[in-house]
Amino acid sequence: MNCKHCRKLLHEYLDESLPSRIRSSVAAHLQKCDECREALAQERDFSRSVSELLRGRTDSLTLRPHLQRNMVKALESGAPSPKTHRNYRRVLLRPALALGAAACLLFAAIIAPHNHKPAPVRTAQPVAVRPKSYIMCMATTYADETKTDWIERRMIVVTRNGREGYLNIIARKPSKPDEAKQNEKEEKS
Amino acid sequence: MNEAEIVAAMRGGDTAAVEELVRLYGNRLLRSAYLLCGNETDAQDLVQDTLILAVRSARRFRGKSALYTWLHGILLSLTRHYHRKRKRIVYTDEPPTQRIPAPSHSDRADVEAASSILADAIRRLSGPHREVIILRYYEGMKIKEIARHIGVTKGTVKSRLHYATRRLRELIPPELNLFRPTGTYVRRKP
Repeated sequence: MNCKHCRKLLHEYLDESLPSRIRSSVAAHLQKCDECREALAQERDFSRSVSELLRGRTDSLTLRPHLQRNMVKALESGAPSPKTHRNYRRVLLRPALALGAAACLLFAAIIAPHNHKPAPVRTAQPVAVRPKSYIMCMATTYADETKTDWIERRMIVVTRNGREGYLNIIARKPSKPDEAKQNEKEEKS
Repeated sequence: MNEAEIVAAMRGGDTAAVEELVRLYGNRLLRSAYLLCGNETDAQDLVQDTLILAVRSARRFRGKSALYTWLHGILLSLTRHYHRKRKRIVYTDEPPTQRIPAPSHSDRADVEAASSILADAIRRLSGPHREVIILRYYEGMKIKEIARHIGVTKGTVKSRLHYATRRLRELIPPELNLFRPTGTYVRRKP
């Protein structure tokens, strides 16, 4: 055990609430470390002094006798209860978190599947394509073309030495015919 | 009346329960309330409200803690509400960062002056720091009991204690000798 760890456990050591194994290792460290022993003594002294001073300060205080009568009257008359502090942050945060989690689930269930890339058709690794590689086929498109403005296609290839792999081809979707016509008109004008 | 009988009387709406609560816990709660709010008149009101609320909500007491701990929990809740209401008050006396002046005849023997300075310094702490200092050093609670009482982790309690003690060290004049000069742990450079 080092000093840093020991200092973190000093309060629990004083409380005698540490498990016996940790307690004995703290005690062993305290025996050989002067600084930690001093810190423990300081904490003990501080605790005793503060406790004594505060007790000395408050010992003369007593509850006024008429308060008891007031309380009995309040209870019998059914006067409204005193307001307590409500932890509004906690009260508001809990539904907000629940709402956020629900929104995330909804997004995952409805929207996310449209952009989800399906599993590759073949479990191949990307390879460096060299001359005389053979293109086997054009594989499936990996994005919903109606929803995105890019197309991803996977090209399965076989290299000269027989390794199988793929190339990803990502391209911007060609503009629609109407837009192309408009562009031409603009160029002419 | 033992604790179980008092709880039963509270649940039954028996006003004798109030007498017992006042007799057993009234002064103890008042002293804690005084340290938490720093004003005797307000502390009296807070204890009155605490006991009224306790009798009215006695059904919520599940017996998992001592009755005093449960009452103290209500008191803490009311004290937080009290401080929230008073937040808008702006104090025009010395700024809170300034160290409290030591008494002219500042010997350790002058316990009254020392306790007054300490109480003043505790009053200047933030709410959460004040709570842990009072629960730890006045109520004598263990770290895990404080954690359960105020609903935070043990690490948070220890952290709050550390920063509250550091703040008290800044506020309390060294002449009081509350903090003995020791070899404070300094992280050594490798």
